[in-house]
Amino acid sequence: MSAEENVKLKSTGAPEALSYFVRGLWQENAIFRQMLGMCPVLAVTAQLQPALTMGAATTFVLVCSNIVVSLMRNLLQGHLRILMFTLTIATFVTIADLLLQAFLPDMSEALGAYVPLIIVNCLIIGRAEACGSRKPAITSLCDALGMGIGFTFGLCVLASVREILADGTLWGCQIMPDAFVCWNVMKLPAGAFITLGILLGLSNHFFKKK
Amino acid sequence: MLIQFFRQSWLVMAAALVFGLLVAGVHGVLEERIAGNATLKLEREMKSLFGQDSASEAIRDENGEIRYYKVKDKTNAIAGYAIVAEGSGFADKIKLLVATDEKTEKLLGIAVLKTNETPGFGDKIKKDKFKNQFVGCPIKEELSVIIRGDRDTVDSEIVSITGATISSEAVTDIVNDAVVKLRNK
Repeated sequence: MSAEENVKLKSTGAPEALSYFVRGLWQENAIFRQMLGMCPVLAVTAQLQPALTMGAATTFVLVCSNIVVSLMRNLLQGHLRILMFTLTIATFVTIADLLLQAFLPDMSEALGAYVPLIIVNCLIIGRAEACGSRKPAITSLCDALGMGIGFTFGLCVLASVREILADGTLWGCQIMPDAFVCWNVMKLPAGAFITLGILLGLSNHFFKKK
Repeated sequence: MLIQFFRQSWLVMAAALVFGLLVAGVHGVLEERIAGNATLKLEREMKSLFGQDSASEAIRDENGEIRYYKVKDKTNAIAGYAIVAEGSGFADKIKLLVATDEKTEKLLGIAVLKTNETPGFGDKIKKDKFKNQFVGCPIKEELSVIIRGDRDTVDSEIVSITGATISSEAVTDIVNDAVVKLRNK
């Protein structure tokens, strides 16, 4: 599908970078289409605030590592490339962790071990392999931004549903009437799986081409 | 052989050096701010253990390192002592603030300052359900961990989070060590 779409976009004259950006948003969305990086999707989506922070941190790492990998793509040795990807990603994850600790200490605490765990998010290494190591920096930047925003969007949708049902709030503000009985299961891992499953089902039902 | 080795791996070494410097630089810039956040958190936890009107004073050893805190209430009487204690948890060091009354006979409570325990399991040491067991504990004898029991009874038995007791035992050991330190202050 992507190759087809790519040809279509190229024939309409859209530059490559833009087509990569647009693809990540929905058509190849990390969560709803590729099902990559499921650990944060299930673990930090109980509330909207940590989910958005996680999305932003992942996007930051994705953008930085994709650009760096792209800049050194001609120097990469085939058998050492994964090592280089991991090294690059680890660096930016550490920086993201430090930034969170310095400027958003509460969020850093709420996310806990999941910030260092961005390093094993297969979305990031996947983009480094699929785009960063093949395409010029500007394409890689757009690709990372598209994928990152798509990933953050997915996290936020899941977190909004779960927070509304579990606490009756959104971004910490009460939006459900007082009579609303909170669904405690939505706070727990089971709630994450149920929400993800339903959202995946809905998105496939409405958007997938037959 | 050696040249071959360098030809293969120079990029890895160069990148490691550059990335290392980058991380060190960022750390250098942000270090002060992160330490400041930790101090603010310590103050906040101190107030929640001893009450909003309390004032803490750091007692330092001859090298200027903080040994413990003497906490006074609003009438300027000694409300108790607190100490920052660290020990090995399951994944990383756990850092606690342990508070006792003025005679070091009873715990006033604990606060978790830093933990990297397994999300969903070990990190429940941060939850009130676990932490509140330490409030009012008699500390004449060492605290011990049991797997089944009533968390609401105030005694020297700490009910672990789950049957796997590494994090619960780590916390209890840290508290025991901290109590000894405070008693021999």
